[in-house]
Amino acid sequence: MKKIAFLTAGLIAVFCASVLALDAKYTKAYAEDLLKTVDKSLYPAVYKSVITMTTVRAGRNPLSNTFEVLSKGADKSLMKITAPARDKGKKILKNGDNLWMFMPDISRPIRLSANQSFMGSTFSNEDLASSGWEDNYTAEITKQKDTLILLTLKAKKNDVAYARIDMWLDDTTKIPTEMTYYGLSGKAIKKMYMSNIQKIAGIMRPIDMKMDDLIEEGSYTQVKLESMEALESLPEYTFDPTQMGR
Amino acid sequence: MKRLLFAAFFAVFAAGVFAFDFNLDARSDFTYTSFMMNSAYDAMAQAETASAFSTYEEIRVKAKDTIGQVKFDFDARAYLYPQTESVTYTVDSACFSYAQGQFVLTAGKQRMKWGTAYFFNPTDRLQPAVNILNPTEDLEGIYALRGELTTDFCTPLVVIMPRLNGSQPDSAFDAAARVYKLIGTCDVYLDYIYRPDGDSAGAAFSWDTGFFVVNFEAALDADPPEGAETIQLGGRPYSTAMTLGVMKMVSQDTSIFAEYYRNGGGFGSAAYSSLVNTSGIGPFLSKKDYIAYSGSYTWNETYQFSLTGIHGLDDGTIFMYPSIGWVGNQNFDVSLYFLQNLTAGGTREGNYSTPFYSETELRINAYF
Repeated sequence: MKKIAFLTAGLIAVFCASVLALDAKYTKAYAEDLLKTVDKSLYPAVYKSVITMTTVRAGRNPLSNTFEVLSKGADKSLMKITAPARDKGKKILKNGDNLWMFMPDISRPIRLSANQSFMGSTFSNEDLASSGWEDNYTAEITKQKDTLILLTLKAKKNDVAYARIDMWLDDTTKIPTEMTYYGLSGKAIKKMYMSNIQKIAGIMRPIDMKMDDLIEEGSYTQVKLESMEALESLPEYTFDPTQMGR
Repeated sequence: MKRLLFAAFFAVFAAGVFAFDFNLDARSDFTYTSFMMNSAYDAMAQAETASAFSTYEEIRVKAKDTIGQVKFDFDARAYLYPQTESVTYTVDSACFSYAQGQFVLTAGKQRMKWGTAYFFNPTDRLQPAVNILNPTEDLEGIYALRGELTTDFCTPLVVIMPRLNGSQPDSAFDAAARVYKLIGTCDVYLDYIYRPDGDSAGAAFSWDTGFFVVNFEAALDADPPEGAETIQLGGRPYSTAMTLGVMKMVSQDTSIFAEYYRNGGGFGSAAYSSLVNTSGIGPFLSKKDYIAYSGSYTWNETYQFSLTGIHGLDDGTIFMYPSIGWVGNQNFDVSLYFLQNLTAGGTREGNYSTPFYSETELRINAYF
């Protein structure tokens, strides 16, 4: 009996080792380079895009908005609501840790607290407005399943939205397929799925994203990238709150 | 009515032909007012027809287009008043802006709202709110030439406003300058407004503490009224005003605002009573100390509840403004507002600044 148990444990260990063993190339430096590539694969450095966001919360009516997004670098973005008609003209500006909303009726920027979800969605403002993971997280490859690898990101500083992000991505395409976000307590709080990989703005990128809220069961937000155009540059006044009415 | 329809038709047609960004909103408004018959009501009735039941239809047209570095912005509303079969219109903005590098020049009729607080904006001297109980109320722009330069350090702005009515022959224009600087998570604005009949200066802050947003404004105005609290600058007296407020978006559904307003140039109780005794009417929100608060909550993306209150601390005047709205359709909503003058008959300001007991207003909005 002991022999069988020992043999079984041995087989499991061999199986796990074969699944989890990492190729020699998956070094720390490789992981850091991969994170830079992932940043670029999701968003160009400067771009204009149109996204549709639909949020479903348990027991509530779905909420849908279309945004025109202008973004520069990891921390500057201006999002203009283009639909529904009732909210058209409203704008949300993020510049670093600062967040403002512009409503045409009030005609001046109103500062919002950056520590809140984006438009009632499952996304935080950081999820949507920035892609600069390499600035905020260290990367390490911790698992491998064929061409899929698990990139574990750990926060470099305390003022980021997540303490850890587990990112599964395909090493051949360098595009993430699934990400789990962990809060400061170490608990998984959100899970994102990326799909429908298509060539847009010059390279292959995920068109559809779905973020599940693991705390509020049944709640999720779907984002569809309708269009994206990489830009040479955007003037700084685009991200100046005093120019939000323009 | 034909003119109204023609204007709407023309706007839709032009948008289609020239393919600019276009919006059309429509509103029906029905208001019932329970008036208080006193000297203030008599004064108001002399200036306009005071009717317990009033209604209007509104069509709002917004159009925007960008050609290269030039952007055009047009925003206008037209009203039909069934009681008098009259049509009026207001152009809120009609301006061009031209961008060169980090410099933006805007010319024409434009909105220029300043300040960081929600209800009381002592630094908003260019375009004060038309209805403090509803700061989103429509606001007509002013004619101005405005230049702004965004730099890494700050954003300076200069405005020149021509005087079009010729009522002040000693000067053809007013002018203003403002500097904006972002420090950490705090917006800082410093401004100065030149007018031949009295200049003013102000400072405004809006700071995200992480838990809530703190807003502060302070302003100095030259040529203060008699009895105003003043400070001396360059041998001239300036009246003072300030607002301190907090704002918290508790969630996407719930928001809370609270503000304290000190109007140093406002009337004391004795001066206000004297004014009422002389003229029979007292100006609204013109005393010294007020607090205002507002909370709103949206249930299931369908029903919106809000409560706004303004309390005059000098004599205990209270205005309450609850509302309920149905916002279940993204192109259509219905709201019911109940403005209550709770101290009607009880305080000088409650009696003589707003001679009504209550107002009930139904608004139906459609967005295309």
